Amino acid sequence: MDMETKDKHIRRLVDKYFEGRTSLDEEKELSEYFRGGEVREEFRRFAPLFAFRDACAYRQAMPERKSWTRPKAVRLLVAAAAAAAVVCAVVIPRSFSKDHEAETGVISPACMAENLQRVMELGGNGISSLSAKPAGNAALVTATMADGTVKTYIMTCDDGEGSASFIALNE
Amino acid sequence: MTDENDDKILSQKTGSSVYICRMEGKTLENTLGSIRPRLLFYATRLLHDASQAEDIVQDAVLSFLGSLDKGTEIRNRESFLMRTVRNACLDRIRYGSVRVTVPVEELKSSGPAVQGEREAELSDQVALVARMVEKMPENYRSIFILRDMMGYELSEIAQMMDMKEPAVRKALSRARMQIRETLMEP
Repeated sequence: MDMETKDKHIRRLVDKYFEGRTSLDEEKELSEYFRGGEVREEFRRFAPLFAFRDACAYRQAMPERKSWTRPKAVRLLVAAAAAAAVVCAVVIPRSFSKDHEAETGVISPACMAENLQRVMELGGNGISSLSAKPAGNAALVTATMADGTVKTYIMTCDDGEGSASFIALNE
Repeated sequence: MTDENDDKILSQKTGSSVYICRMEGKTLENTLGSIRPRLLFYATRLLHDASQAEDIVQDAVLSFLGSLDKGTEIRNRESFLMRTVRNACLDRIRYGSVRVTVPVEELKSSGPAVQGEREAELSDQVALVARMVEKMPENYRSIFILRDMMGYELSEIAQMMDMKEPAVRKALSRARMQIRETLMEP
């Protein structure tokens, strides 16, 4: 699809969305478009609405285990989540290597896995699954609890203190 | 697992001593297990009080089991439960026992630092959307939550809210347009 056709398609979907006439699949397509980060100027005003939808959406009981998104898109999601956040921070010790982070400015998969493992240990049987999306030197973590509720956290790392903080967004 | 155990588990889950037809025990357990998180999400979004939301969901489940026990035919269990939860939430809101607005400004100031001017601006705008949703009339807010945050079909929302589908569509459009108009302001 060329740019002009795509713009026309998105314009039509946006109009349908505000008329309440989009299907769930079309709304998913719009969310993916806005999440992608390459949003045309004329649609940019609506990005906060779709970011809000993303940040506050109900997650199914068993989310996909680990999905990786481009950092740019995830930064927008984290910004969105931060704005709607109810904050409850938990700090846990962090001992992983910072080489990857120092080189790329992004949490490495190994670092995330180690942190998630620690959360699983702290949560005991209360947590049934965890997934994470990297966002620069932070990550958006989704935890599915044993009772089926879903909690979302922003995980940030403090190099100076050697600790990782979890900020709850929906508690 | 025996039928007796099924009933026991269900009673523990719901806190109910209501007799449940043994043949239905497993199906009910599955139904409640899958719907309960959605009921909690919905009630929490309407009330902004997790503790009261828990109470309301518990009462709704008991009411549901009570209805079954009396032999009431419930065709769509999820709609029944969602409607019961919504009505209970509305009662609490009407009687002023819950705070229905979220101090977004407070939350934003205590949130994590975001990187860059663009993200900060987006963060402000998302906070604005959150405020808009909080200020919506209750039926707009309910429909917006059920569709945009929970992904229900309009026909399902119509059942949950005792409305016709075209009326749901119209209310959803108005809810979204309210947000659009605010975002379009210079």
